[in-house]
Amino acid sequence: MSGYILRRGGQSLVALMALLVLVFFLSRLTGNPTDLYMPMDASLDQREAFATKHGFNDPLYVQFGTYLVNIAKFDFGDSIFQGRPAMQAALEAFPVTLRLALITMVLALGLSVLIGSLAAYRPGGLFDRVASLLTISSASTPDFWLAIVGILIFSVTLGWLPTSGTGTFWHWLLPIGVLLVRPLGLLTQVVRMSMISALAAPYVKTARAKGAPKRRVVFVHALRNSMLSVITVAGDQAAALINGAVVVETVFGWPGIGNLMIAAIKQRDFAVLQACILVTAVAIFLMNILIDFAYSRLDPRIRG
Amino acid sequence: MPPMLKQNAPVLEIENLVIDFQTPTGLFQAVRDISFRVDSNESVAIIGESGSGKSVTANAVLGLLDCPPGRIKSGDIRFRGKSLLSMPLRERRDLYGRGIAMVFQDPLTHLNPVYPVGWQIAEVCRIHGMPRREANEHALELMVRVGIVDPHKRFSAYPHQFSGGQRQRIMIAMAMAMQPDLLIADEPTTALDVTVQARILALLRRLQSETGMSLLMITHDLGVAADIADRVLVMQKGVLVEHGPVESVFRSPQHPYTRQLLTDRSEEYRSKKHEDGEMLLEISNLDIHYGAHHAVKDVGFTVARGEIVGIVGESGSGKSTVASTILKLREPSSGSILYRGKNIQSLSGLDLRGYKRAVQAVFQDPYSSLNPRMNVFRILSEAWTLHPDVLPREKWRARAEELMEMVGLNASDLEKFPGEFSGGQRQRIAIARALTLNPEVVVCDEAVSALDMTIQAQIITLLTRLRRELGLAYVFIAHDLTLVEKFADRVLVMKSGEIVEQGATADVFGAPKDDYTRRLIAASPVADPKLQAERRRTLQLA
Repeated sequence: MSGYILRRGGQSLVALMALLVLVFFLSRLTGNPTDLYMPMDASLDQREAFATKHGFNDPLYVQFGTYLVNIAKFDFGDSIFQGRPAMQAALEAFPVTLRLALITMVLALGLSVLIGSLAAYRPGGLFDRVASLLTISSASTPDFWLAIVGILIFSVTLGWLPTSGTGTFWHWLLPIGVLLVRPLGLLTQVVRMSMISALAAPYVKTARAKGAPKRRVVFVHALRNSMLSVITVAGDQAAALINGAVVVETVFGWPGIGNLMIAAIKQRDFAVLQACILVTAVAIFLMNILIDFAYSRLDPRIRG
Repeated sequence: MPPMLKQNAPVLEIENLVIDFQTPTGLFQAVRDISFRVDSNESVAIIGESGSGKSVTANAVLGLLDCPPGRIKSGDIRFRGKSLLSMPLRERRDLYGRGIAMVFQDPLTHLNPVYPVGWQIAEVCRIHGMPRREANEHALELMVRVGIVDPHKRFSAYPHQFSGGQRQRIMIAMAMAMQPDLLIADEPTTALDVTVQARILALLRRLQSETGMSLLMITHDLGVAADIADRVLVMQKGVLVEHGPVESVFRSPQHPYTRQLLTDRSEEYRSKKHEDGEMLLEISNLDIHYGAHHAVKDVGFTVARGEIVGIVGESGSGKSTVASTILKLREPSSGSILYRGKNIQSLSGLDLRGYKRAVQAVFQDPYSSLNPRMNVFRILSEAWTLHPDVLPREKWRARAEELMEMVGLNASDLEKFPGEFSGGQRQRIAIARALTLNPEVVVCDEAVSALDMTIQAQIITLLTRLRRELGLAYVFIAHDLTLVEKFADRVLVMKSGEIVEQGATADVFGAPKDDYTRRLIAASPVADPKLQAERRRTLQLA
């Protein structure tokens, strides 16, 4: 296992390097931050001084060299807007996003396993048909629209929930509700499909011949076998959430990493953008290792 | 500690059972008004071909029919005098696994891949109320009893870590967990090698004599039925056509269908002994390695025009590896295959194409070896697309029609897709496909193993006829010794990659020189209860 993690770590490191190079050059394509940072009436001298101080006047390859050297020293640069280390800002925002993502995924997984299994038990039955209709629509609803409509109904019209920000329990409800919709729909469909094929498998027949009650057949014998494909899709969905649910965080003014990234792009705050990408990339790498670990726990055949 | 043997107390009674299946093409009656009983400590075998309703009947007893599309329309199933069909579900479930247990055909798919085998055996006990600890201990005892070596270590191993025979032992341990009164075994040895089959049948017989349970065995193998049953029931198309004590049914079958099943066709198959034809293939010193595994060791044999060379051996003996090397699907590590005196490894261009035409194949599984999205005409004409010089395009249709008729199908079936044919018909299509390039040698890798007996006989008859008409030679790979004995001119016996014995079929089977060949022949049950009982006794003594 440790050899495996080392190998995966090596592969991810290469990917990470490529990503950092790409982000560096792409972000510089957006233009010089000096124009955005300095006030409209700042003099040319002032602008020059600012650019020189932050190294924006150096040739690109010099900037890139400094960037790589600093990364090697675990120095990810300072945010020019916040005046503090960029990594600090990213690490502050990340847990906020992570908490949101975690709660959403736990809810999505739990609900989808329950609904998907029940739907699979009698494919084509009333419950299955209603569940299928709902999950198809929820998997295909755009989240920005849902977020706005949610605010309109629950905050503006009914006045039950706050429109944005954090603080109380009530602040969590709308963002989680909106984020939950798509993964829940998708996962329920995956659970349903893989449960249908698991329930048709010969070992389920064996379980029935043993005298196992229905609940045991579904949740002990079939479910564990169908979890492999569910975990693959769940990992994909979780990666999207960890990456910062950019749209939802922006709409709800959620101080997470997605929000921070958007702000950094708009302000050409390169250091912050790079730090954010690094943090999420590492998080996704760790999550993939977790998923591989879960695979091998679930299916002894993978353990070899 | 056999319990009291209440003679003639029925354990299972089936009365006027009718089972319907709703299919896309209409209502299909799978079981038509059958009645029979199984008494205590009795072994009953249901024999018949696929689609005869024998497995449906067995599944109905354990409530394993998928309803819909299946439906028990009328009749009754009684266990120890109580009707299972009118019993509340909870009470029925309590009987499953405890009073009636079942062993299935394919133990790999019927064991749950993600739980340890010990857990799965103990689960039966836990479902029926035994505390976890006690259940685990009991599962260990059962593993010892069915002959799993090193059960403490194997307890937490998973199904994929066992061999086929051991998996079936685990299935049997699971079925025996609550000491059932009735064990239903649905083709329990069909997927196994003959020597393993003999051991599993011996195990079932031993367990039966220890516990006094009744055994209901579903099988298509007459030898297995002759080996284990006291009574046999013969089913055909859902109807029970004949039943009685095993000796009398096998000795003097009354129904024409039973008679047809029991016909010995060896004369018919060997109607024309081949004359010494020219030498086509000369294989010598063939060695094949898979990494560190030495799959084929120093194998050598020849195939002459019009000759049938049978290769027998158990799974893993290297038979199929040899076949795929002949087909040039795999390169040998060393050794040579000469085709008309030329080494096939050094063939190129036209010569290589010529070789690939001359040697064709028919594989085991007619379901997966035909592309389901091509119609029969495309399946047949594909070879002509690849070898355009064989046949001009305008003659494709006529030749395809001719081939269809040659293998006993209708020319009008050319537009149909593989899914619309039965297993036997598909194998005929596979044979027609092998014939498209006018081959000299056809490699048949377990080509009839997946088919029912009568279908098997039809395909073998077809192959015999084609040899007579076209002078074809066959390399015929099979694990079914009886079949090879009837069909092949010469036979090779393979074990762990080596040929342990080869010679004329009559010599090898009549007077086997090698110990392994003798064991293989002894393990293969014959469809004669009296002879089989004798053989079993000598086998036990030896």
